[in-house]
Amino acid sequence: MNRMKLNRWLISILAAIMLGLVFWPHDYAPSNKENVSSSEFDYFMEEVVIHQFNSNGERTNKLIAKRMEHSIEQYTSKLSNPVIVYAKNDLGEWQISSEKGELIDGQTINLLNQVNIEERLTNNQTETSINTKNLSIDLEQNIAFTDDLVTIQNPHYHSQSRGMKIDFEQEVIQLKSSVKTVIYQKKAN
Amino acid sequence: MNRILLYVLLTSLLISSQKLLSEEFNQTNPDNQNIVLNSDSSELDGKTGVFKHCGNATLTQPGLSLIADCLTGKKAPDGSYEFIAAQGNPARLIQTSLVKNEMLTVYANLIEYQVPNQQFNIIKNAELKIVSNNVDSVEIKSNSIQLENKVPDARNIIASGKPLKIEIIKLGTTDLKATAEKLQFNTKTSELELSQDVVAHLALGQISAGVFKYNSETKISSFKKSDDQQVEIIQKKKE
Repeated sequence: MNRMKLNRWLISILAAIMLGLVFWPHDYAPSNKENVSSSEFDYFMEEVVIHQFNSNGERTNKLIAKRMEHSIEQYTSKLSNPVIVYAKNDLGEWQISSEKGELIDGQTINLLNQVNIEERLTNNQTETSINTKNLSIDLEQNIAFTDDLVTIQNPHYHSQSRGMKIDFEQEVIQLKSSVKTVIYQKKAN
Repeated sequence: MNRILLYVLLTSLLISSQKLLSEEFNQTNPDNQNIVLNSDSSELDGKTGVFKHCGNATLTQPGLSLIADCLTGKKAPDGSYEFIAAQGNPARLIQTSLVKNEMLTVYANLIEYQVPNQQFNIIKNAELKIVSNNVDSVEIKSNSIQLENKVPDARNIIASGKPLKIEIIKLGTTDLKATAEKLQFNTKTSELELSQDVVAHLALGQISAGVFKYNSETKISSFKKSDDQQVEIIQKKKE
């Protein structure tokens, strides 16, 4: 009799577990935490490339990012490992990269956490390398700004300043304050 | 294991000490003629190679300082810097030679520096003064002075314009005071040549000539006439 009761209990418990497994609401949690979809953004893209063109149909810049998460509430897109490329009239290109970034309204990009700007020649050699902490780029004007410490390295000189503005179309670099430049010069024979 | 750690430690110590030594060498190396520019702001045009440093702008190089409101220059096609102009009200150039115990000071509205051959073109309200051993000096005032400066101990100075004035002071007293339209002076040989409308004030009196040559070391002087200038001496009797 007792054995019968025990069997009934066991069957009831198993049935309850099975029903629970079938009808319990599921979270389809993927194994990769980076791919978790949250309420912060409405869509994301991976290995994304954005080309911007001017009114003449010429490409002004190219934005590459490992991952882009778009937030509809803040009209911003968070970027992982963003790289922006400006062509220099067949004389090479400017390549701007950082660890993180955010694209606001598709017009301004804020690059964060150690920004590196490289002037690359057509043979892919780096001519000028500029480092700063954070940088804002106006993608319509193609002008970059920072108020942080800036260092510029070039085979012929190096410069340091606090604050910088670069016009990528005009190729003009303005250093804002406390500028120190060392021009490498060998003694004339 | 300990030996490997010790080896790694010693190797890294050796590499870092060599790097420090090489950096120290670079700073004190006499062949290092690096130009240091300081300013409140700067602008570099990547297309034209023109750069501008403005606001309390200074240029320093071993034995040389340029102080200006703005320093502008142009990159050569190979990327090196050949030309820097100092603009100010006035801009100032200071050169010191410890070997000769000599200090050169220049004031002008525009000082153009040809970097490879250390030559200066000094333009507009130019004043040049060389003081040696704190007692001897040469002072030149002109609208245009060219300073050939490749060997700091043997400077060649060429000046032109009107008015052009020169004053040589020896042991604290005036040795020569003169005006002309052209001047050439060598600091090593102390040879001075004045030409065109020369008026020199010497112990002999006031002398006008076409060409006047004078050596402040040997005190030998010569006067020559030109097509439109006789040699004339005006002497005032002492009362």
